[in-house]
Amino acid sequence: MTPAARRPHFWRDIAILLAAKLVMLTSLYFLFFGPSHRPLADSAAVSARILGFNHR
Amino acid sequence: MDIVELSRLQFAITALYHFLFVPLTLGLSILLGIMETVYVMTGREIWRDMTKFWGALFGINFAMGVATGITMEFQFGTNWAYYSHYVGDVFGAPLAIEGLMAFFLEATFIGLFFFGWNKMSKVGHLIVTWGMAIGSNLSALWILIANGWMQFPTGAHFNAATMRMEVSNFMDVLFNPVAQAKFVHTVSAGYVVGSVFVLAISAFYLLRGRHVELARRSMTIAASFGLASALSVVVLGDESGYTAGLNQKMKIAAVEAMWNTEPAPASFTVFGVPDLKTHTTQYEVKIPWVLGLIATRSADTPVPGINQLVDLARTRIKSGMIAYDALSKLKTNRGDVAARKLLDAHVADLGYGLLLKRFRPDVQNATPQEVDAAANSTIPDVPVLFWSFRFMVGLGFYFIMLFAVAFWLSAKRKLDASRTFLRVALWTLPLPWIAAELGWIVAEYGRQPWVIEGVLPTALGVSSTTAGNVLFSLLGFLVFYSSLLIADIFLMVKYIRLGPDGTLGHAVAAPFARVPAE
Repeated sequence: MTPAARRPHFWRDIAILLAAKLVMLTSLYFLFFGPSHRPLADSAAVSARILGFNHR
Repeated sequence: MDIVELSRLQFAITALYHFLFVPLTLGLSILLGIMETVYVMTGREIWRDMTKFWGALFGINFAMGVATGITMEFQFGTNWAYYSHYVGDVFGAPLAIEGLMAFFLEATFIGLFFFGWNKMSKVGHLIVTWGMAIGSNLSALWILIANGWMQFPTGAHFNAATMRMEVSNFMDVLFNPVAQAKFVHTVSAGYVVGSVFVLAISAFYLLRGRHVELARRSMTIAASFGLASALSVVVLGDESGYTAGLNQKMKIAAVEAMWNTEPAPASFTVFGVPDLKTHTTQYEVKIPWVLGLIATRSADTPVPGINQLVDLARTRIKSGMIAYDALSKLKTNRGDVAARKLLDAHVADLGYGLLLKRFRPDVQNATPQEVDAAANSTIPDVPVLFWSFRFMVGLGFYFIMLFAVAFWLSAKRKLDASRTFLRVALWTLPLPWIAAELGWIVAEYGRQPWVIEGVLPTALGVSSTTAGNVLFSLLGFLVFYSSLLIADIFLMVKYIRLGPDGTLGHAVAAPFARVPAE
């Protein structure tokens, strides 16, 4: 393989890994961190947590 | 492990993984700017090829590292929801600005750096390269402004109506002395990482007798920039320690395993075996005066010991109980003027009162024993901090020696004369990462039990989610980051072995051979 022929492989490697990373990050987000996994935390919830009662 | 420990472990692992990529980006980007500047000034093609080759390795690291920090922002919403509400008004702004810096300014310059070589003038491309370096470093600035605020929460006040900290002076947040000291210390540590990387890979080539001209020049740049950076890390680390000594006295006392206040100036413990149970340090080897002079920059100011700081915490916890009681009354009756006055008088200690939440739900009724337990909980893990700091500092001085030798050999044009030195330089490769990670362990583990120093205990920032959810997402992160790390190392090794020929798309040996000695 000539050096010139190797060059496109560099960007191919990077592109494949970026795509794989995007898929993994998106999967992690939807599996564990999407809106359905996010607990409500407003001033009332923080009051309940810290003071033990909800002032709402 | 409970939900608090799991959430902390998850955040720590993601932060430590993320910081494997960041310092190399910070250091290599500046080195690329220096190499390309020499190219533009001299017109010698070898410097352009050097910029492109090291730029390719920078590209691999950047591609693997980019967005690894975003997982921490996932966690803010899911695992640290109360933290996010409590301090989001302050903490969110620098993070948002960092996002703009990283994803727009920095990413734009990186795109132009890689794809603009044949489309821009020499000077135009040089401006892009420096823009990329400055953009990377500015990203770090905003993150460290956010982090610095966690260590020294200035420019904000507690709003009882919204139950959160709110910005009262953004300039104070921006020019927080802790953040500024951390920024310069952290980026200069990144420069050391980049310099050791270039030095080690160049040593590898010289040992193999490959790409000799590129390796010699790269080593010369890395040696001089690395020496300046390693010296800066120590000087700026001293500044960082000094600011911590002003605002995080318990962290400094824990790092030094200093159980009791000594007469000024305090001595520095070079070696010892701290015992968290007996509050003693066995087998101490001390240097008189040094700690007092470093930590206070005076000969007559004492450095408070851990036991004395626990006594101080006890007083503040009692004051915090008054603030907590007043806040409770105010939340049930907004017009309670007496409660408002009491809260205003004791609000600075509210966080200390919240330390009691670990021991009982009705903080205002805590017993003296519970107050004692809460006060003792302000002591971080002394042995971990003591040793992490000493290994980090030891490595810092080792880097100075390494770069000084490299600089001297470079000045004598004998860089490839000593194979022993080249082997040492090559095997030094992992050490700056270890030093950088130890630095973060000292900074963040030393802040415990606080997520925001003196304001919010870590345990209260954690969401009411399930431990199972955190455990499974933690396993997901471990798989994700380990895959990235393996891919990063695989690609780095692959393209380092190929050398410039494999990344530039043309054989560089012949052109390099034509370059006369400079």
